[in-house]
Amino acid sequence: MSIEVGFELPSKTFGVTRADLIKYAGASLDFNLIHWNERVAKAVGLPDVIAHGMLTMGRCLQIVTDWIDDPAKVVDYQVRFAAPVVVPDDGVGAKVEVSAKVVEVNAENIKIDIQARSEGAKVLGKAVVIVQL
Amino acid sequence: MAVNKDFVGRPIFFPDKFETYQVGREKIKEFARALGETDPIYFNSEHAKSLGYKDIVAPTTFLITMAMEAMNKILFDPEFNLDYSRIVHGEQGFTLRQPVVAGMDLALNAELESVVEKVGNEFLTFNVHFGEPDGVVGSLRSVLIARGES
Repeated sequence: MSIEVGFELPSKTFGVTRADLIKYAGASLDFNLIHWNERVAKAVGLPDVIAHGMLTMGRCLQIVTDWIDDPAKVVDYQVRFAAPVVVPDDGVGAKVEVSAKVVEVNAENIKIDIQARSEGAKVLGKAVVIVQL
Repeated sequence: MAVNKDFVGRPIFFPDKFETYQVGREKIKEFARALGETDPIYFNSEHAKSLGYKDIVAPTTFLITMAMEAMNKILFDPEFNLDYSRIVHGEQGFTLRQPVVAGMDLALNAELESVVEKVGNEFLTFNVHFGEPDGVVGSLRSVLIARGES
């Protein structure tokens, strides 16, 4: 497989509903109230309930793991959470659009930058994945 | 309301001193399902073995589950003086030397590395290292932001 710098991975969009947040809270043991309780989220100055950063981070990585044949080849993944993914209780939820581009290729690994947006805002900053070849 | 900086650098024992965390097969599946994963590497032991792994593999971000429990030992300690609902996640990183697979017994070496104040918010940086008796598995770094009152 020859991979070149600048190659764009097939883009992806995923949805996040309140039910997804409850499910993720249980699986990850992150029960912070701002991820399921609108009253508390608003009381601490957030626009509404927000998704766990880790749910966004985990789901965004799928743009890479869908593309490589073995997801266990991801050896490094770093992100900065630039803006929260706000999840309204409107039966639809939030939508996150993900794109990714190869930024470095060497003999052992490739480096991929991920971009993710929700409601026009960049939700991840400096999201970098290293895949071992 | 500032957090108690006496916790910086103090080792966190999780699950407890001299006790390891066993990576459970069903916990991996539960976590993978919550992320909407469908790859059989996370669900089917025979499939994972056919790829050369000892058992099903955990998603890259799985280590956060046990790290979170370790960090909670400080975050929920009344003496740390934190309102947990003011916490948002600032940064997160994972570095893996080998994949995390079901059945591993992981020893955690965790600490709150620093507390830094910036424009009314407090940035809490945690480092967690994961190892098995015969070697390093990986590490993670979490920056949590305790948002100020205004």
